[in-house]
Amino acid sequence: MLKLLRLDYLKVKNYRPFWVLNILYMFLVVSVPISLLEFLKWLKMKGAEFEGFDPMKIPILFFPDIWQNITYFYTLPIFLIFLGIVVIITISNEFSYKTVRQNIIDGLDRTDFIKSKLLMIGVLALASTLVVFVTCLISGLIYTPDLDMGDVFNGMEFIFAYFLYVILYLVLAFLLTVYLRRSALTIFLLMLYRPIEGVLIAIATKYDVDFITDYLPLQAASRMIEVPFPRYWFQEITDYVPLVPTLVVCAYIVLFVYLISLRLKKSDL
Amino acid sequence: METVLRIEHLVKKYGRITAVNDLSLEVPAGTVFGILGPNGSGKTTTLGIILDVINRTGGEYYWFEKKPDKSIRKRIGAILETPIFYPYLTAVQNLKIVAQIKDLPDPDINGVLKKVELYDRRHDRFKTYSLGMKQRLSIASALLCNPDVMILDEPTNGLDPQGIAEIRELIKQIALDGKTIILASHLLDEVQKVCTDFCVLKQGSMIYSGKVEDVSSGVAMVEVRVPSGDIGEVLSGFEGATKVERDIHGYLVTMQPEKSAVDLNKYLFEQGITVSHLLTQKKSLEKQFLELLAESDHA
Repeated sequence: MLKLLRLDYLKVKNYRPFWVLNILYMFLVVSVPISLLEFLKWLKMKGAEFEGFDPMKIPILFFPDIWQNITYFYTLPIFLIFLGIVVIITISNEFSYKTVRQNIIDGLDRTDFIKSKLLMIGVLALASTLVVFVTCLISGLIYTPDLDMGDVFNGMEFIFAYFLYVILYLVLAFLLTVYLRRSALTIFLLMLYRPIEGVLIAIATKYDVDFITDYLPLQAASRMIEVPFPRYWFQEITDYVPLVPTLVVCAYIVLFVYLISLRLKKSDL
Repeated sequence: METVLRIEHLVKKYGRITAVNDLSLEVPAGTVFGILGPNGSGKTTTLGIILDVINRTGGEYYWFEKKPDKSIRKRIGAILETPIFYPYLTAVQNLKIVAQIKDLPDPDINGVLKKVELYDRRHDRFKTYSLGMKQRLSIASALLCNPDVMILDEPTNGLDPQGIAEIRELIKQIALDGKTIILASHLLDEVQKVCTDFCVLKQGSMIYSGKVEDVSSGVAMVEVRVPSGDIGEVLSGFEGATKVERDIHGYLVTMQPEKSAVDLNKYLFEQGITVSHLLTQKKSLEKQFLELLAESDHA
């Protein structure tokens, strides 16, 4: 396994787009708490009144709320697409350069190839989870006024949910690449995918079968981290990671990997 | 003699098209085995199957009398069609990837690059290379694992005459090291110059297989010219001929094995004909190849 990891490291080590996109994503991650704070400051400056409440006192960036608030942002497709593009271009390169073919001629087998790409996805997901975790932790430590250590790690399950979300999203990107092979088309489809689910949800709701929408891949994934903000106008929200969507996400990851290997084992390279 | 590769009744179908049709062959160790055939005759498809990048429809193949797996491919140096490398990486970086795949703990990257004369360009990216350099890099990559078997698919494709000569020289050297080489080509000349054994493919079927020296030495053709007159009929009466053709300047007589120009000359003299020109040609592989293709059309 370490060998496969090293192999993919050799492939991307000198591939600039890989590093540029990853670093861009990192910047985005770090920028979220800063821009949120700037937004609150702006609200305050504009004199927005929350029934006499100071916007800076909304505990968006306070422990324990911060875990859910911020991971919610990070799982928006607009952020994830950066990592998705990294996965799509590195894998579709292998097809367009035909290097996957030469790799196999040289002594890899198709399962090794899939494993090496899944490992890369795993490493990307772990690294970005780490960045997210550190960003949340530091922001929380800076902004929480009355720091109670008990609260700090309360809600950290959202970090785990984020990790699963990223894995699902990137495996979906892998799946689309394997079936479409062209990077531009794949990136386009990956961007369109969430809106497509949105349309399906609208249709399902219209015909009163909206219970099935919870079983769509990205919808299930976003159910793991519910929109947290209504709680600040006193609505009930799911402030934990519910079990069923988590299981659905895991099931989709397994299904996608299965479909990837089905396709790669059958195709002539 | 040990058999390096054995193919039994290999079949590959693309929908209704049969690319490889019931192909069986054996490659003995230490040979330079040529797979000859026109474009689209199934050479690359066959090589793709035995290297596991193309799925077969039917049949079996064995490397070193064993069922194929990836550990065997790690001991084979192979290039299919065009040289394939990561364009954004240098020669050294690309070969490191090959070494990583082939589990080579201490690959002699500089050594193989010197052998193919790419050492000076080793830190340049692959995409900046000329076609000849790319071809040479693939040979370097195939040599990297010091393989028992090398598979080369059209290794001189697109090269200038000097490049072709260099690559052929390289192949001969490698063969002298005792390695088995499987070489696919549509260039007969190439097969004749470097191979010891060969087979001919046409539309996925094997139509001939044998040793290169046998075909080059067996049948002879005799060019005959007379000062004047039509001797076509007289020549047709010669029992030692299998075929008589009219040429621009004279006649081409294909001899039966065992028969030679001496027999022909004697016969013509007996018929009262004296010739002005009598030349024995060894039939070239090219002629035989074209004949084989033509024969299989009639079959």
